[in-house]
Amino acid sequence: MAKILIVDDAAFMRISIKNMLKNSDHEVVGEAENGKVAIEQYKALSPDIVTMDITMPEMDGLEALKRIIDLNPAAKVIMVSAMGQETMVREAVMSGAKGFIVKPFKEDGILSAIDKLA
Amino acid sequence: MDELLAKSKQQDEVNKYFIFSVNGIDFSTEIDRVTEIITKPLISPVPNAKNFCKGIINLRGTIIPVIDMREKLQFSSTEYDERTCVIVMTIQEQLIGVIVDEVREVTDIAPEKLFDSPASSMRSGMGKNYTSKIANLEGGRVIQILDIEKVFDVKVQE
Amino acid sequence: MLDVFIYENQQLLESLENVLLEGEEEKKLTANQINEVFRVMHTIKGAASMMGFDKMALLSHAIEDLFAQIREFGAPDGDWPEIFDMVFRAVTFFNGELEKLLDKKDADGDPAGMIDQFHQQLAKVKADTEKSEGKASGEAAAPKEPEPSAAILAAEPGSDAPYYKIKLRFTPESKMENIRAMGVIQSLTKLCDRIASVPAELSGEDSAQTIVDQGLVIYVQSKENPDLLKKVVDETLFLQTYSLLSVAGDDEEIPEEIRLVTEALAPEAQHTPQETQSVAAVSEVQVSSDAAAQKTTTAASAAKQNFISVNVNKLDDLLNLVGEIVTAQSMVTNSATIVGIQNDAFDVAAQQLRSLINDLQEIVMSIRMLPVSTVFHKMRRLVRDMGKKVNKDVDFVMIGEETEVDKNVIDHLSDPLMHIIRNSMDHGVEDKETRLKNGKSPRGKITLSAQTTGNDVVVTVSDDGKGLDRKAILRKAYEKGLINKPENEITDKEVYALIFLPGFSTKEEVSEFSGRGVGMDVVRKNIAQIGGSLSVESTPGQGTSHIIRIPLTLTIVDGMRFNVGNINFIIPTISVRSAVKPNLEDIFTDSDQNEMIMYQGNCYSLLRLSDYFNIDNGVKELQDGMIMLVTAGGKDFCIFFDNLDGEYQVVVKTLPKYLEQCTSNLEGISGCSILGDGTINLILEVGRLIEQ
Repeated sequence: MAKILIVDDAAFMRISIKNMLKNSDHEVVGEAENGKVAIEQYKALSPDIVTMDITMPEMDGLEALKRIIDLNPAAKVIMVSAMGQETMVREAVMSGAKGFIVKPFKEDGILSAIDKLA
Repeated sequence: MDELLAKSKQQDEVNKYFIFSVNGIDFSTEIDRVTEIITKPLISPVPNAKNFCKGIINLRGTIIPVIDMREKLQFSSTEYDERTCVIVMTIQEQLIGVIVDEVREVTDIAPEKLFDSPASSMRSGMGKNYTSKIANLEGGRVIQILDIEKVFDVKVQE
Repeated sequence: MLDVFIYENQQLLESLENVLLEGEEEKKLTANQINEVFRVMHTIKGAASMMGFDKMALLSHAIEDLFAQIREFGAPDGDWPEIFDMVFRAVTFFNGELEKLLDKKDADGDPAGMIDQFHQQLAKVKADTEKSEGKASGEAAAPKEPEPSAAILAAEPGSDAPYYKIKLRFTPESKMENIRAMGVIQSLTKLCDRIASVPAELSGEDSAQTIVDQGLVIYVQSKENPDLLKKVVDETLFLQTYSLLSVAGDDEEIPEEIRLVTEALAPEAQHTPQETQSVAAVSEVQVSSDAAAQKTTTAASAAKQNFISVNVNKLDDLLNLVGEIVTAQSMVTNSATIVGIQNDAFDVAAQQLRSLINDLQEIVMSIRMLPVSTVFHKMRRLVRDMGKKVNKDVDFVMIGEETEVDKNVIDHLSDPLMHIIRNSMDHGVEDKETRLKNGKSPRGKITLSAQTTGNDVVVTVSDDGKGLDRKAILRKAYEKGLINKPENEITDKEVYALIFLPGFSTKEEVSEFSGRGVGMDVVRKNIAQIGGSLSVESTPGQGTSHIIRIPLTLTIVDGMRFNVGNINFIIPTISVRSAVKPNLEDIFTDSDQNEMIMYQGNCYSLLRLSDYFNIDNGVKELQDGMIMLVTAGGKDFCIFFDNLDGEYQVVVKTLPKYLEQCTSNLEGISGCSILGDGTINLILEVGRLIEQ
């Protein structure tokens, strides 16, 4: 149902999430490996939902989140974080992220989050 | 034969053995060592070959040596006929083709049916015991489980 | 998935190692480098935890914590050497685990000791930093933000908007429940006049645990339709259950800060409590395991399509296919010649075909080409580690690391280079005192260089150590009966060549690091496997150079096909001068019973291949066979064989290693080639025949 943009600097994570969504009826329409590319992709693809890693080179997820919300205040962004990133997650939530998921997670976790927003 | 091999690999491989015959005796090795069977092989000879080495064959681009199990086990050599085939085995991470008289079957042998080999089993010229275990199956059928690594003694070079 | 995990993390570890090596030379890491280490460890932690490799995740987490501290507050100079050592050891550990996974074994290493060390190091760095800077190094994050107090909003006092009590729980293991709570409150705030939470303090880990144990309660005063409030709550991710009840504004359970002070209670009936259960209970779903162990191709994101990663197996298939096309084309052209077709149109077409296939071959080869830098950098790490072990300070210089070679070559270059460098570090480069005594610089130098020269890539390992010891080599050679000539008749070059003889390396020379004292003959064989050659040059007192020559296009060769008995051979065309049917009158034997032949005014040795290779089903009489005048290294001689078949372009394949145990002597055969008719032809190496 929903068009998803996956943002993470690790190919492993991008493929993991893509795999987890394989059997759902959501469609991964694009991937980005840093915040800068994420914004370009967001503009180009207009995805329904974005999964956004926090730590990335060039531009991190927090900055990219803010700019995407600037572009579209209704944008639905799910932050993907690790334990120990409480401060950044908090700022993300305060800046308009619809929620977050903490690594490690399994298929049902990411699916429940996306299903809810879709 | 290949379908048999493929099907047996899909199931649990723990107790499956691949049985072939040489000089009328049934021998066997673990199924996961056998990668394929070639009928009607085209063997190219190599010079200065020891008696058990019949040459090399082309396995889809990879060259593998072909060893005659008869000669390796020191039986007399024989004419190859239409049942002769090459079993491709993985030994110490190398692919080696082995010529046997006949491929028999793939079968389950439960651990209880395996016994240590008595003194009368296959030995190399120097008395090295090539047989690791003996299997006693129904009907008094006896199968020698070969210690393939000992038979071929593949030297792993640094 | 596992493949991507292994590959990506191997890449990360490699670049991390380079960063560390650079930094270690400066005795510390720059801010950027520290960030790099942090990022790599963070990524590995994330991926490892997703794959369930908890031990790897814990170790990377420990390192991440250390570097988070260093990133924020720095580390005292004195701590760096220890830190470098520890991280290098961790990198070795990770690489080891990834290797195990590559071999389809379990990543069962236990880094518990290392993890403790990192924790201790973190404590030490914190303490040392505090001491030197006199300020408390707090949590390695946090610019101090004012805590959003999840309590009061400015509301008109005495507002008569209704109060609600919202109770909710997050799904188990959703983590950071306190932050999730902040998120819910954030969304509710704009709809509420007053809002307060229990727990009120949401900024610590304890609050997260409290929410897990007791749930989160939010008290709000809002004019909005409660259904709207419910909707907002319902949108929360990882929500397990929630309920919304009306409460009296002055109810005691409402936190004092937002409680209604007036006594007057609106007598309206409370809304029927509506406990709304939301969101499915969490059920464990097994992540589906990958069916096949096949690697998958990944495509780059839309924004950057310059590179794609390709499965190496596909490249191997592609190269094999190109090889077969080359062979097939050769067979077609040859059959035409044999049948005697003389046709201009055919010649033009054949030439065009040959040219196109050459282009195809070049492109496919270039796809497989990679810079040698990965191998070179591995050596850098080796020099560093060995330097510590044998206590020698050695500079490592790399030249030409961007030189490209076939991937197969890269894979087989690493071991030989390691052996050579180990030998250099162990026996070549002298220790500091000896060097100083001899007027050399205290630090030794090992140079690793690569360059293309025409058709070859030349990789050289040079050290400025003490050079090869002629006397010692000769002594060993005499002992082992490897040479008979008297000493004064042996040139230096011949002496150095002795080290390549099998059986030369002595087990006594096993040093702790050189391991089993791998002989140079094994190193040379490894290099021969990729079609290359190894030679050595040395100047006593000044150093030794090992020179590896690898042909660039190592797979395809133009050759003449002939047979001896039932064995088919290919001899590279560049080794052939001419081929004729011999005249019996031209052949005679010399005093040593060696056959010689007069040919075009010159006298040449005649080598019967049937004798040399012990092939007894070939032609016996000289007049029934043919001879070829061949050349190698400036020396010419003639070989006698049965029949000549024609010229072919063939793809060179290596002979299986086990064949060495199946034959008594394969000297003179450097490989083989599969021809279109399915036969395997052995490739003759004339240079080795000459030596016999």
